[in-house]
Amino acid sequence: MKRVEVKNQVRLSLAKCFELVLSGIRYRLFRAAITVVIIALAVTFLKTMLSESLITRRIAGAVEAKALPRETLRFWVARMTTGLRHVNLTRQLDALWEERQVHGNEAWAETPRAREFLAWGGLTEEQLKELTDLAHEERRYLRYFQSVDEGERSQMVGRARGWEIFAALQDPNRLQTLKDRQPSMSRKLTDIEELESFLNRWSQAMNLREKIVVGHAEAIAATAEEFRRQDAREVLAAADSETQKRLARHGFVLSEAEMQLVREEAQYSLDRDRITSMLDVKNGFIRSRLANRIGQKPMDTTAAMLLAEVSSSSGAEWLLEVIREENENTRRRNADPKRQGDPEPLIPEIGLDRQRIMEVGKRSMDQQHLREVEALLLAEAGGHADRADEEKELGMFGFTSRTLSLIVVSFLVCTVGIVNAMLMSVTERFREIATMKCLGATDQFIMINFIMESCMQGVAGSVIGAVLGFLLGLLRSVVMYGGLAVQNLPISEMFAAAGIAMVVGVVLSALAAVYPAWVAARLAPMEAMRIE
Amino acid sequence: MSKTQNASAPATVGKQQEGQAGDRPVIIRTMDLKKYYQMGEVVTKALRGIDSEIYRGEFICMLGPSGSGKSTFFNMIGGLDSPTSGRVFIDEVDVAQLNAIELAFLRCRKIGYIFQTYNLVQYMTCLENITVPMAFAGVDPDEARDRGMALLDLVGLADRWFHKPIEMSGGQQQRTAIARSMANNPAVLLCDEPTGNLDLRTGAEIHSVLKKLNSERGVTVICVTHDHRLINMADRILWVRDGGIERIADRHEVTVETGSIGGEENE
Repeated sequence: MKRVEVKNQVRLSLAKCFELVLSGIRYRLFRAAITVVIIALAVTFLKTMLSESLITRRIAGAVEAKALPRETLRFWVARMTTGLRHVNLTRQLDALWEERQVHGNEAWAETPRAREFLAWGGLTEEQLKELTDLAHEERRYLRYFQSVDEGERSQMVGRARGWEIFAALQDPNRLQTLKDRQPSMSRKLTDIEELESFLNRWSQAMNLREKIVVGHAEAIAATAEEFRRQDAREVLAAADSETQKRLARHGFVLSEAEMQLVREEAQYSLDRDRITSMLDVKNGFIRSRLANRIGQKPMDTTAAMLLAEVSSSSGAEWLLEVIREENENTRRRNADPKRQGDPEPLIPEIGLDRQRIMEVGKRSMDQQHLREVEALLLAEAGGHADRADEEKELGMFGFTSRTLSLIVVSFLVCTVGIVNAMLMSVTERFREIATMKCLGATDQFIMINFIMESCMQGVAGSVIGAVLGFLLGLLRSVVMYGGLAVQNLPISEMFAAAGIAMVVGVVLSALAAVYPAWVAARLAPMEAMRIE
Repeated sequence: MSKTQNASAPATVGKQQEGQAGDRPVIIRTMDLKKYYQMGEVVTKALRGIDSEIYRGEFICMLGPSGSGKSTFFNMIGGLDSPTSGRVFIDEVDVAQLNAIELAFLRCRKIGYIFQTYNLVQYMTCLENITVPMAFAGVDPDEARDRGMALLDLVGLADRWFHKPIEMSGGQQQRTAIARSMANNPAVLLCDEPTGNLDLRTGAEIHSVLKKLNSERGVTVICVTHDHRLINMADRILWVRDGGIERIADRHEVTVETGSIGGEENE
């Protein structure tokens, strides 16, 4: 018996396959277009999500940097006037713990905050290290207690909240209850003995913390005395090396970098207050004039409106003019010999020139926009500042689980769409496929043919989708964040994301075509004889 | 399986050709060919054990009412389906022993298929359709084009090589299909009602092309058909009924008349 010698049953070159597939697609252009649209939609969705996420992240970083002077000033004013509360102290110690991770144990003790705590508490470095460790652990345990639901938490620690939990757990009975309840909790503590030792150290460290709080309170009093009860902002606005020395005498370490940030911000804050205080002089004389100028009721005009108005050259001019005119009128009335009673008071001098008023107005508008964006970012993160922090740690794109599930669903729908379209294509071409098999096509060729067809549609759809998604994501971000989105465009990341979205689209199309291609490949060649 | 065994196999229908078998080589041989289809609980016996021999260069017409097993038999000898039991030899090769790729190889080079519905690929031109099987056989594209043009010349469509199937008449399409089936110089042409969709005159064109291929190129032609004029050209005629071969006759043994054949269809 003779065997067939399969020498030359060629696997068609990919180029030839490509050519065949292309002419096939051209023939069934409408069907191909629908498949392409399905893929394009899914990829657009993914790419939009990716773009938005990337832009949001970049903006969050930019906003943080922009808000740095404001936050530094707020921080300094607060610590120069208000004593440390437990929560604040813990947060600051935890921040110090993080700094320790960055700087290492040696350089860390020289950082401003570490020096301050060491001075106020009269602590050794070891003691401060222990305190930062504890603060970090405390925050970690707090996160655990916040993550379990209300009912479970009250079973474990009763009605205690925040750091009170650790105070409450000092009671052995309470601790025992917590231990007993652990097994029935939905989320469990990994190591209960660790918690016990933490509680021990925590209570022992309380007196060290107390030392810091007391030392700080004394420093506040002494500083107030030192600067003759000046407004802290005024102290900071006029800060120089002399001020640094005087602050250092009481433990406050104002670094050069911080001083630069704070000086300008403090001056701005003072000047802004000077301008807005104008609203209420002379029974709201300027308020009513402003209301008149911008067409509002006097009671509806706000400081923000005044600042917005004076941010233009003409607005600033107007404010100065109003004050000058009114003061002139007042002087004339006061000089009137027929006048009786006390002389009418003058509007106090604003003490700023037109240029500065404009600057302050503009800056305040910028700040206003910044605050709006911050609020938006917070809302994006679901309203939890903590969660926003955590999301920053979620890798490159940091999707929330909700977004992620939306993406997965969209891709499932897309897959089903492709499978359906390809199956239709297979059924439609039963006879063609069978004929091809009669002419000597191998199963493998048919399979490659179909997967390649799907891949090509995938490439087309993905490119369209990536471009659309790019634009859509950009558009949405611009609508939400305004110019900030354009200024902080993460170009290279956006392109990387487009690449990822495209690869996902093509791979998905290829995978979705596997089953239809398999159906086609297994088709018996005698189907070619069938007459419809 | 040796050749001697094949020769000694009982050939109930081939008795009268025994003498010829020596000088005329067998191109297709079936031995006790059976094909059963499982339809739910019922087993349908499409072929009940067919022994037959078809010689190289023959022109054979197959007849039989629908459901007779004619199509199944056709598929078996065309290497399109595998038997439940028994053997099919195409050019000495046992089809049942072949794997998928070997079958594809066989279909590509040994057998040409012609379908009632032409089955041209709609998005390819006439010439492209003809070169497809050559591409599967690994023929160089330039050579394929030359050979394709030669084949088109043979079927009289050389001036229409750039037309798409949709731009051609049924007869032209079928002639293209015949040219395609000849692409890799097969030994056997299997035609399934080649003129079933055509009118009398265009049918006649197809007849002459098939006859020409048979006589000039020595291709074995096997036709399933009810077209009397085609039957008239055949060397032998084969009647299939109830999954078996009812009768085989040489062309001169039957009278073919318009509307009836040798009393067979008049029952």
